[in-house]
Amino acid sequence: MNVLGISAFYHDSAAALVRDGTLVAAAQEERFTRRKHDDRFPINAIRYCLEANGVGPGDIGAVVYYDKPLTTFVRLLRTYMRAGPAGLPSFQAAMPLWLRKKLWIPYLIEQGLGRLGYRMPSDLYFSEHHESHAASAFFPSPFESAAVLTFDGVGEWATSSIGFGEGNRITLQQQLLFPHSIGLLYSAFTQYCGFRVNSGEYKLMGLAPYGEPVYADRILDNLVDLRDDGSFRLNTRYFGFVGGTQMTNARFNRLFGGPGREGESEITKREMDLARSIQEVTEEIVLRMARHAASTTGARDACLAGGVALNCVANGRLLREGPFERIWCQPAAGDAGGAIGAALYAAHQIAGHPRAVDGSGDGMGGAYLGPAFSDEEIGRYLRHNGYPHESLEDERRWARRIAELVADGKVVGLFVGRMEFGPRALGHRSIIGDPRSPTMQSTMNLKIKYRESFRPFAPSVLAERAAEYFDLDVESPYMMLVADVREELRTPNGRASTGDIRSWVNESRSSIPAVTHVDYSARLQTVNREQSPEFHAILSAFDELTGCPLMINTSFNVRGEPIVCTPEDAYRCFMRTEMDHLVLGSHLLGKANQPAWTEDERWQEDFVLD
Amino acid sequence: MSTSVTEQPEELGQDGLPDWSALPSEPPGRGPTVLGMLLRAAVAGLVAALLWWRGHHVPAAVLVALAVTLTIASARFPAVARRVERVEGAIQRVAGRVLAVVLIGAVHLLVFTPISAVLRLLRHDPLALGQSRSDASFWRPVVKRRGRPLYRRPFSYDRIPGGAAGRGVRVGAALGLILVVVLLDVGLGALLNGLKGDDATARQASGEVNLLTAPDVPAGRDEPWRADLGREIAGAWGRKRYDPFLGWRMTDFHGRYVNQENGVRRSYQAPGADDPNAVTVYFLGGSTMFGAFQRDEHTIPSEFARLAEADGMPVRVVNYGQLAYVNWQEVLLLESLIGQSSRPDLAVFYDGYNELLSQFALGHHRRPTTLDAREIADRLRLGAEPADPSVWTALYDAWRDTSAVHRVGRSLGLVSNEDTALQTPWTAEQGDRPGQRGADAALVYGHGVDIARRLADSYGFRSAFFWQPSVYSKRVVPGEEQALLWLGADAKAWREATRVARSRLEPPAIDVSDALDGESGPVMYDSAHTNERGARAIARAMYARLRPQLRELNR
Repeated sequence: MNVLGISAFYHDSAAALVRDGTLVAAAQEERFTRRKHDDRFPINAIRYCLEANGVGPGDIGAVVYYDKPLTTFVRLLRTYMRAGPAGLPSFQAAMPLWLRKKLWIPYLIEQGLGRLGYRMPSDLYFSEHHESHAASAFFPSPFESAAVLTFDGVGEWATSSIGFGEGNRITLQQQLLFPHSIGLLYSAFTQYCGFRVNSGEYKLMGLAPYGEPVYADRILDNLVDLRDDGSFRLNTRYFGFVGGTQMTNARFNRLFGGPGREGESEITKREMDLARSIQEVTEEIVLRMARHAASTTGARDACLAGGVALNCVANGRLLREGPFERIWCQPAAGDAGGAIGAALYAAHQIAGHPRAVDGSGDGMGGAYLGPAFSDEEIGRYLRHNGYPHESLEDERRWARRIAELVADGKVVGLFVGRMEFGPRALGHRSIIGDPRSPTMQSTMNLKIKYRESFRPFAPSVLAERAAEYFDLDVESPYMMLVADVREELRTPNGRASTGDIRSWVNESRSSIPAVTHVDYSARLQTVNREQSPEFHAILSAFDELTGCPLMINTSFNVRGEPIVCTPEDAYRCFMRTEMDHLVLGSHLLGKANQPAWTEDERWQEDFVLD
Repeated sequence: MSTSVTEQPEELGQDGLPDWSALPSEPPGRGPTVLGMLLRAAVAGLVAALLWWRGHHVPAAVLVALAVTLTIASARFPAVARRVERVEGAIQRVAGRVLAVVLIGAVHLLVFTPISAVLRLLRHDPLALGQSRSDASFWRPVVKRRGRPLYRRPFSYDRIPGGAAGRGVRVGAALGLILVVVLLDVGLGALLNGLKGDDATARQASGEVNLLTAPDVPAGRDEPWRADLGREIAGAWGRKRYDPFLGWRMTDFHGRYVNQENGVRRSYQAPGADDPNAVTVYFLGGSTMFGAFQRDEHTIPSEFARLAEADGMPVRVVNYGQLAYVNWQEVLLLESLIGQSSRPDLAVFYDGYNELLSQFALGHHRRPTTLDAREIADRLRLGAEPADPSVWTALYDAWRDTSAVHRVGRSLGLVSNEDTALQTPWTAEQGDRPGQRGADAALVYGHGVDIARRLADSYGFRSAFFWQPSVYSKRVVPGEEQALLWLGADAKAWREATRVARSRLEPPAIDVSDALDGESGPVMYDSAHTNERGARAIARAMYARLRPQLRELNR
């Protein structure tokens, strides 16, 4: 039976297809529409999931939406009952979308499927928001049973939940309710520090190591009433999100010494300290929740999902200091992953499909769930457009050639196999570079990604050699864990007392400086041959060539742009930036050989900065 | 094996790259259709008809011309049709957004803001969900009902733990909400009344608001006091009380232009009129005698007094005119006065219009009765009200007079105007034997005149009976045309009835229907009531007829 999961209308719309209990496809709408965090009905993602997998017009067994929209609507109405007149701007902004779209989900789904030529199945389900997250965390995990922790901004009412999964069943047991939300707390600081809510959170996380946790006590004393079991209440007098259009308010400003940072302005020590402080508070909350979950479920392993589960620093600390032996994080932990969860929930929990767990791999297929393009198709595309290229049909030579380019200090765009699902590029839609270069971080940030120079890059490392470089004894195939660079690889450095972030960025902190963050941490991806043979081959070749089994791996896009989806997207991004080479399947393109790229220089205005 | 390739471009075949390019966000429209064009034209036609009906003839004509032109051009040229569709779409979007902002804002203002205020007063947090700051843990258990059908619902069946407020809070919240909504409604209504005209004063008069408030007609253009006067007249009517004998009587009222005490409207009194020996003249009649559109000192009796004064014969005039009275009620009123030992030297009756109105409203009848008059008054929403309305009625009336919601409802036609609604009084087909109506009116009037005359003779005072002019008897001058159709009258039938009635009048009735014909400008506010100039003209006509009798009485 084909089960189509859909998440839409909040942020990161997506679709997923589960066939007979197995996840076979998933994609985010933004990749097709080229609009970052696109929240519209994911008609293109649905089209991909169905057409690429040969689903016929009448072959959809069930459709599952990842949320209970009417319950969410009730929560919204109650929120405005509390907000009073101050809620008017937010009310006027929210209601039109609710009245036109969100209250008519079944109709919109039927309309969308009809537009694609598909019949609406008789089975239309609605899983709860946190059920979807929990399902996306547990059902694809490699665990037969596990505690399930979900935490995000807010679903219907729940903001965090604890449950237990076993076999093909999940039971949510406890929850925290709106407005007491760890996700909204983190987003409030994200906005206060000048980054965009729902997209800038990982920047705040990246900024944290530059600061000191000087505000942590102030946060805990004034904003968060935290209990030993990880439950907490927010002091909503300091926040604007209850019926307002801003996350924080004047009282919050006074507490932290003035108004928040304007976007794109200089980052000061205050923002660094705030980032570090809220990061520590978040980690503390996650740890306490985890301990409580372990004691109430008795589980030894845990699965995580929800937007906060994308905080890989907290995940890493949870793994190191938490009560669980193993943790598994849904790589698309945000709302996009809700589509996967909804579909899996219907397949297992409602339809009763058994779940295959062999104790080794997971059910995410490396998160390579998106569109793929064959070498032949790409070759025709290149020839059609007259783009000079080199075809390397032998895999070893292909990998060797790419490794040589990287070792030579070149920046290479890598486009192979199926597109990743989730926010991370995992070697199929990636930009790769040499991690040993002390200048590579700045080069890639400023000349290729066009983003803030402080932001660290992640390493992708051969799984079998990861332990040589990082203090991590488990695999991290989805970049969901942060681990420290091993002590022996580090070089001593001092911190600038001025708080000037630029003075830190170019400091060499290890033998792999481009992927070593200021606190010696790295958000790493371990690459194994089974999940991504191509990327594994490249890393192996690089290892053979240089003795270094890892590379910089950053997503194939520029700031504000969704990760590339098609060869055309990849070529466009390649030509717009100062990337040196582009790998499209078995085809290698050099920038110097390409025809002149003529485009309005204002192309970056197409992308809203995140 | 590696191959360097630099080839000539080739055409991308159908089996090129899989096409995952984004679909348009909206499905492509079907393009202009004949049905769409006709619908558009029909909508424009409806709007034009509405404009025409509301008197905006030029915009209506322009709209029709535009619609016809665009429809023909659209049918002939597809490019024009597409452009029209785009413009229409843009207009719809803008209108939709504006409407959304307004309506959604109104919902927030009228629903969520009051609820929020009440909840704050009750110190109830709708998001607390039963939690307290002192709880040892903030985790809430997830208790769910299970079952496949539940997954089919876009909502949860599970009650939010602690989400429901206590019974007391709920009752308090409900009552508080009602109170806040009413206060908001009344407050906003009072504001609107202040900004857009005080509905409340006029509403005291209930039925007379529309009937007696001076309309903006040419006859009133030189009378800047007419609006205030109209409100006072309406206010005076609002003080009426049920009278078991007469149907109703107006009670005391004091205003700038209208003053009434003990059933007598204030009149101009010439020096010497208070002399015990001065001739006393009672004036009886309906609203035209009362002086519906005239100030106290410019009613027919007041003008009569001036004429007498100018003639060297000061008389004491007493205006017993009562709104909506027919001749028979006046006769009964006179009897009542006589019963109280009040008698004049001369009683002047001024009637005609209400007698005809009675025939048109109640159908053909030939016997005088006050019940007839009451029924007419009821139809005109002029009916007498209980003398002592209950507290609830008074509260309801007070709310109705100030409510913004009621006001909006009235303006949208969703709520009946109740006793302010000016209904057409006609029950029968007006054109049905209008001559007979006139004859019957004259007959009924004749009964009253006969009894009044006998009464006067019996009690030793004189009497005079004047048949009044109306727009159906006078020469209509420019500016008075609208008066012909007042209350939706069939002017032709009324003219015929008036003509026949006048022809059937018998002495001692005096027909002064031509009293206004000498006026060059418009004098009629409506089909019966005149401005102050008209009142002077009528007073002149009366005085001319009564001067000999006054001379005799003055000796």
